[in-house]
Amino acid sequence: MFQGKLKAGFTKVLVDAISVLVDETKFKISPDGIYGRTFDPAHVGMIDFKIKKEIFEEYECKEETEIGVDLEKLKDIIKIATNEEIIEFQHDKSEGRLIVTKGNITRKLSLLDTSEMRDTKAPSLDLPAEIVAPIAEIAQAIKVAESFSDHVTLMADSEGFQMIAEGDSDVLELKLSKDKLYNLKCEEKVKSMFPLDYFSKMIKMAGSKSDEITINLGNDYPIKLSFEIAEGNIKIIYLLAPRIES
Amino acid sequence: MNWTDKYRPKHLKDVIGNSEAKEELIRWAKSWQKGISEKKAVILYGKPGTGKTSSVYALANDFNWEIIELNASDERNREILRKIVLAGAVNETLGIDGKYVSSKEGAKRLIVLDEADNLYEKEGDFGGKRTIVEIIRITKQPIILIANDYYELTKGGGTELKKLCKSIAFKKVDEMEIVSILKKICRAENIETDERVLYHIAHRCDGDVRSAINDLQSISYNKRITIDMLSNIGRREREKEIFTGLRNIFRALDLKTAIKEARQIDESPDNLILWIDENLPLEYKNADDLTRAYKFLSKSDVFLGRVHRRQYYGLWSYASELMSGGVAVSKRHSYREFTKYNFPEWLLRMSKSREYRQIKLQIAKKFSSIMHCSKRKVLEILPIIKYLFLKDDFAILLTSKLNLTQTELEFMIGDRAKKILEQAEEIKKMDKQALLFDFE
Repeated sequence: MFQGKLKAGFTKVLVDAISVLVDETKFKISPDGIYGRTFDPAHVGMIDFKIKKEIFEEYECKEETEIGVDLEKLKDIIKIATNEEIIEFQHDKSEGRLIVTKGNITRKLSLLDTSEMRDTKAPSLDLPAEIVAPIAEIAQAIKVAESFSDHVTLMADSEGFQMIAEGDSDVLELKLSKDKLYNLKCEEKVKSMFPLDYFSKMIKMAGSKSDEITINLGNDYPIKLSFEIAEGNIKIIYLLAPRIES
Repeated sequence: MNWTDKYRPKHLKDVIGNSEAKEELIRWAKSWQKGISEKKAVILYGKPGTGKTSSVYALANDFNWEIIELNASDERNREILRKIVLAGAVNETLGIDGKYVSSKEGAKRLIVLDEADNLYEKEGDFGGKRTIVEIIRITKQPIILIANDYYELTKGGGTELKKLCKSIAFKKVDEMEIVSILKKICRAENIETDERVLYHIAHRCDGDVRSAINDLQSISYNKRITIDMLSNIGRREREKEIFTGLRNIFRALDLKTAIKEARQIDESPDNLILWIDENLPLEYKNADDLTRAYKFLSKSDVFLGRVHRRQYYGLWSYASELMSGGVAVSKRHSYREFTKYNFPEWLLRMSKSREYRQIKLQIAKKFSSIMHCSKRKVLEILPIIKYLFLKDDFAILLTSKLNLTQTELEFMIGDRAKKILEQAEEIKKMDKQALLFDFE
């Protein structure tokens, strides 16, 4: 049995963040909050999300359950609410439905069978470099790069962080030296290349809700992007696999 | 649980039938172990239930590759292909088991496009095949396309696929092998069974293992299978057609109707005659009617024999009209009551004796290699070889030389097989040791 009330704004963040990779997902509802982890169908990207119960106006959950949700359906009802409005959730286990209420409007949405959705382990990654950076300029640079490139190379050394996107003949560079970053931990130079479409969606998502982003980077290795919202009550972590080096 | 899923083979060696196709598939997979293979994609094509999908999953398991696939429920169009398949084809992927291994270190992801012949182009969306071609050109991961209809896949925008891909055909699975898998399932499920039923199921499924297993499951509800349950199996559409066709032939009142009915049955005359022969006495109760009908049937058989000898299929029409029209006009009485028809006994027996015939062929193959003659020649002199095998020394020597198996040996000499086989093993061991010494 789960019941909770949450501001529509926070719900939007969560749903949008997950929609970057998938159309449907499994939410695990525990007495402490809601969390989950899922791959995109190609297994190139992964999201790990957590939303603590403290951020809910009301939260009631006795034992852990999991529900499968079609995110498009959820979006429909959240879309009509303003950020400050309260959305009420109730899990009707016997009917297999999630009852979502906004004001006087009630949407009963049928849930998906979770038995087909596999539980995924988070890959244990050894990422030597950690960069905490302001996100705005990264998002701007990507917007420019999108018009001519489909991949992006990220680099870091003890001096700073660098992003390069190359097209057939054009190049875009973004350099953030150490003093422009909030934090930099990097002893040796690291460099990896990623698919721009995934990276761009993740960064844009993060940029619309947060001012800073934590990047963990390695050599020809997956990247970890993490950011927090509402004093750390919502935590989103993206993992993205690199391009295959030929 | 569905038995076709429950007993889906884990390893390629457990997939029945199609050994050549499987070998080719393994060779292709091995070519990926040293980087990117020359042929980046494979088309597996063949009738439903011949083991295409099973082979793909077993292969991925054997090579420890993760599979990226589009679910059947996924809406499949160009956009989806681009989004999911292309992303998987050029990027590394995150392992579901919590490990990350790059493809350089050998972790491949096998991209599987099931039902590739019809799912990517429909309702005016014609870019599907071209998108597949494009993906194969740039992929850095192995791709397998599965199709029932090779022509459908490679026509139009798919002609390029023929050049880009290695094509591997999956043939109908041999009845004996289907029987063996059915037996295995029965053993695992603790089902008491009449073997005749299994032969019948295997014959009827026409090389489609999936439908054979489904049929088996459908009659296994109380852990016992008896021969009379055969009639309980939901008859396949085709067989139902034969039964109605037969009835219409037997009950036709004039020549023309009977001939027309025979033409509509989807069976060659040499098979249809077996059906008529089997069921004629069930329908015609009067002895004189039967005599006349069988006279026509025998004449029809004469024509079938001529077709076979002369390889001139024009004669089929005479055979067909004699067996249908001739039989129909032979009756002087009318038969109105319901008759339950049977599957031709002869076909049942042939499929049962298949094991026996196959062993014989295997033996012939082994002998032909040392005797420098054809298998047929060996079969001719097989009785003489059998006679020679009465002598222990000779039997042991040849058993060790030809690696005869126990079943093969039992066929040749019956109960003595075990003893001979043991002694042959001894000799083989000694030979091996002798080889070692030679080396020194």
